[in-house]
Amino acid sequence: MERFEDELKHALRRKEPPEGFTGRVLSAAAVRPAERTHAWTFREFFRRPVLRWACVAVALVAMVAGSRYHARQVAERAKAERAKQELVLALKITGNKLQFVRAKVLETGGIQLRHAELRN
Amino acid sequence: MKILTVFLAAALAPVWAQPLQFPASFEQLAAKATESTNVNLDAAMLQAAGKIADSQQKKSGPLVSSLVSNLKAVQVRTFEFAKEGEYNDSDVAPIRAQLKTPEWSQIVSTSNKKEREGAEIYFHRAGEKIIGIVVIAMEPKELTVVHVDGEIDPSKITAMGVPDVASKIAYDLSRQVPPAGTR
Repeated sequence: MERFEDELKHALRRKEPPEGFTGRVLSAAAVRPAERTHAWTFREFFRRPVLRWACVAVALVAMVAGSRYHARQVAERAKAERAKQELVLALKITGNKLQFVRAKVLETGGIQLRHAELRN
Repeated sequence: MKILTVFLAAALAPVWAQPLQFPASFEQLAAKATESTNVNLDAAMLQAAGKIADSQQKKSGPLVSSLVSNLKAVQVRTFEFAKEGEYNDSDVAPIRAQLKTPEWSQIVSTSNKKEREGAEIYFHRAGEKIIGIVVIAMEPKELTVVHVDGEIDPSKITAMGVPDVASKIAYDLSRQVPPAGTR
């Protein structure tokens, strides 16, 4: 038992640090903040004015481009809708006039037929 | 190479269908008319119209885009006048002049000078296919010119709600008038 206590005492005895240990610790502590700047946090990123304004500019450009794209889509859709209405009108007029021609053909005895296939 | 391209384009130009040129007098007619319609749809607009019509189509049937896919242009001019005699035959003559080419054949021409009425149908054929149609309808107070440029499928037109009157007219005519040689 006494031997064990002696060994424990020996292991836990006060030991002086090696030469220059304090200086090395203090210099390492002084260097660390500079090294940490490579790993930016979100807040640190926006703390830089150039980057902050760059982000604002990119967001503005994206908004303007997006709104322009949307406006163009709306205009193209309106144009297509107008074209569709004109197409419907054109088909209606064509149908009506062909009916008119048919009625004339049926009621008129003296039609002038120039149907190439019937002539030849 | 550029010169070759220009010559090639010039050589092929007559093959491509040309839009109907409406005479300048039509603008004066529009000014006189109580109501006028002016429809000018080119291929791009027809495609766009077909797409949007397809998206809005509720009932089943052929898609509008399939009807217009082969069309290059649709031109319509209508003039409605308050009284008779606001237009005359010379207003339509420049259009007839454009249709006096071998590609175009006049299918129907009816005329009633007493009632100031007349109607003409012209087909642009390529073999069995109809690749263009012009309708000129003259009524006492109304003038209409329709030009559909492109391949027309009568079955699809009928399915879209427009009766295939052109075929019916051809049928009526074939019954009324005996072919040449038997007359």
